[in-house]
Amino acid sequence: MDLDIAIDAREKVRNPTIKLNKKLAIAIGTLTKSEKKPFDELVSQEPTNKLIAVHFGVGDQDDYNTICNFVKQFGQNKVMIYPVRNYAFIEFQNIQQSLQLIQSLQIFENIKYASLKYPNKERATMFFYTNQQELNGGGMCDIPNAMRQVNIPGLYLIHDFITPEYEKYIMDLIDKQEWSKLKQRRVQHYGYEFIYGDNTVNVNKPADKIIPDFLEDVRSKVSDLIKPQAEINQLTINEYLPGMGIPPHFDVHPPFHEKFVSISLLSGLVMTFKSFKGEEQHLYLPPRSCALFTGEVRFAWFHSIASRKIDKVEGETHFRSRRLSLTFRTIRNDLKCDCQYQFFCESQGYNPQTMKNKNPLLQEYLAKLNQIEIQQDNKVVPNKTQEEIQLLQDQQQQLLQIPKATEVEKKYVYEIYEKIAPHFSSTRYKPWPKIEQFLKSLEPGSLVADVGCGNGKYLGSNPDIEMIGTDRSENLLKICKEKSDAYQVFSADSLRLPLKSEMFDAVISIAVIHHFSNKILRQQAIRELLRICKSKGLILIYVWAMEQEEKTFNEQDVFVPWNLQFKYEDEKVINQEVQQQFKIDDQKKTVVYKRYYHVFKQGEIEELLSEMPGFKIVNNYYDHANWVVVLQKD
Amino acid sequence: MRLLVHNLLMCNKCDKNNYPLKIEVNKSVIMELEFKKDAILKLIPKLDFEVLSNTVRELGFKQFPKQIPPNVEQDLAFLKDLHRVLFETHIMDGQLTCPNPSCKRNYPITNGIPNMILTEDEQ
Repeated sequence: MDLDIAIDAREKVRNPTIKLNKKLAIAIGTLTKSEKKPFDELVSQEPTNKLIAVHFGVGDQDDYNTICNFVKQFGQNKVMIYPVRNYAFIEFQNIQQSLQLIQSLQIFENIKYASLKYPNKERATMFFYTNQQELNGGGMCDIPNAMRQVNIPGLYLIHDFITPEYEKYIMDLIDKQEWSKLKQRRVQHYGYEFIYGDNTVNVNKPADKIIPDFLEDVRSKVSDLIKPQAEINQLTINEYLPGMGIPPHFDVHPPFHEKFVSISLLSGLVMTFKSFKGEEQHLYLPPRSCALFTGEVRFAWFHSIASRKIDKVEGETHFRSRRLSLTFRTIRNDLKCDCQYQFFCESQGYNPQTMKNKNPLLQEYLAKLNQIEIQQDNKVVPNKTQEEIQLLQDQQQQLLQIPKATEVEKKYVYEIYEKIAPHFSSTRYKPWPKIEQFLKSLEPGSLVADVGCGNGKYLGSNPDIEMIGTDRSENLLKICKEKSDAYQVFSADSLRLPLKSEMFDAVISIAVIHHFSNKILRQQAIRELLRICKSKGLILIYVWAMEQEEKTFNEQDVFVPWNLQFKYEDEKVINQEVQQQFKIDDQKKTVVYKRYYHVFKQGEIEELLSEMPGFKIVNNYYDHANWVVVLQKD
Repeated sequence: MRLLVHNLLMCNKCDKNNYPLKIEVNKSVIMELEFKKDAILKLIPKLDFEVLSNTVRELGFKQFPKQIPPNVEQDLAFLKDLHRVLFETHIMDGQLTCPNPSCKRNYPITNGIPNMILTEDEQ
């Protein structure tokens, strides 16, 4: 070998910058190979709030912790790390934060990196902006994303049910007891032995061991929780090492009482719930938490733990480690269960041997449920009752000196939205494209009012305009704020907006005007939209159409039922402890509220507008069962 | 509530001297947002700048200019201040009060949401 070249080669090894170039090549190689996308597609030249970090490690807990530690100084974020992949995915709340991270990095040529101290070694970690919403991460993207909170009927998760000190105390003692070995896991049984496969116990055969004294504190705390059910008399301790799971099952109805709890020790993991209707939800059970199973989730949902070593929790990687679950149950003496879920209840005709795969009771129940739903979601809107007719007549007779809300709006619009806000919002998440299109067509920097903004589903439609929302319902506004702290909302009456005149470049009124019960109020609401709008500004108005296919109306002034699911309702109302005017539907588990609407005939909104000055109609169309007009102020 | 909203709100209980509302702040937070020069320049002519400036100075930012600086497009320091007061400062808890001495209606701000709804007899 030529001497010069030999020296040159040695130089290369010693020169760390040459090493960085090599590392970049490795990073590009593994990223493109593993993600099956070209590097140009994976990285973004423009700053975004998402980053790919190439850490050159093995994607374990140490790599995860080190990266989390480094990135958290720049703001709140989520980190996904992928086992046996040398890169991670980071999502910040905003671009500022990722920008600051990138600006803090060392630069060599075009490579931006930080020297991070991983437990075994200091390694350069390279960062790139990305437009990807998630990475494949060797199949990590297929792991369901679990939530820290779910809405499952009858399930309650209590955080920090026991203290870390108590956890340590009982853990030491539990580990001194004898474990019985199952094929998959180790278990301990107290009170009665749980028979896996049948998911029951033999009531005539109490286990040799009763619940140990050192668990008495937690046992009595659980007993308090399940009152008035009889005290806990059975305990199963399961040990789950990373990779272990349990197939979908539910505890047989008798001999177990309704309520039982599962307490997680040492490490958290994700439990999967599947309802009798087939819907699936994934919940993260943190260490020292207590999951209380009652009602529907206990009787009619399967729960399971996937055999995995890692979980995905709200977009972040979660490594499992050793977890113990303490399942406390009450064994009942009578073997009769009177739950409403006959299709899974052995004391009411369910036979696990013959009906496991084909369950006629369940089919019957689902068919019945389906029918009720069709009936309730009734296409045909019922005619007004005598009372409702009277109410409308009374209001019409009042002389409207000051146009203000009548009893109809108060009782059948304002109060109802306040009541149904969370349920309503859960059904109104998808923005309608034409409305978004309207908002996106406005000039950047436009000041826009959304009068009757509801749950705020349009407040974020166009980040280049300034939107301010107002609504009468404070509960709906709270939901807006939960969606984004940045949303600007205030509560007000749309018949009299507390806003200065001629300020807004555009105003939208989506599904609002049809809630006013007479023409004077409908015109007053439109007059307010015009007043706050600037000259040449645009006003978009949506009102419900009578001629729609979704529902059939026999008359224009209607009271449309809203079936509020029990889970959104105050227990006092369900149990009829408080006086109220609305019907309770026990079968469908809903309280039936009614909302007042004036449904518009084709051309009616234009006619209403023809009596008003100061604008021209620049567009009108039909969209999503609504008549739509776009006005331009003179 | 941001000061942009305050710049638009008025009292509806009375119809004279009902703007600008006085602000009392119990709690405010800064939520950082990307600085967009164009957006803020477009917003300036839409504001009642005098009202904004008075409010900002009353709330303690004494150096905030009384008038829009002459070379506003080049005045990055001013634009950044304006960005902070208009876009990043959120009043979470406090109240708005009608400036009309014969009205003085209070409107509470809770969780960042002003409640401007009048009672039945106030309408």
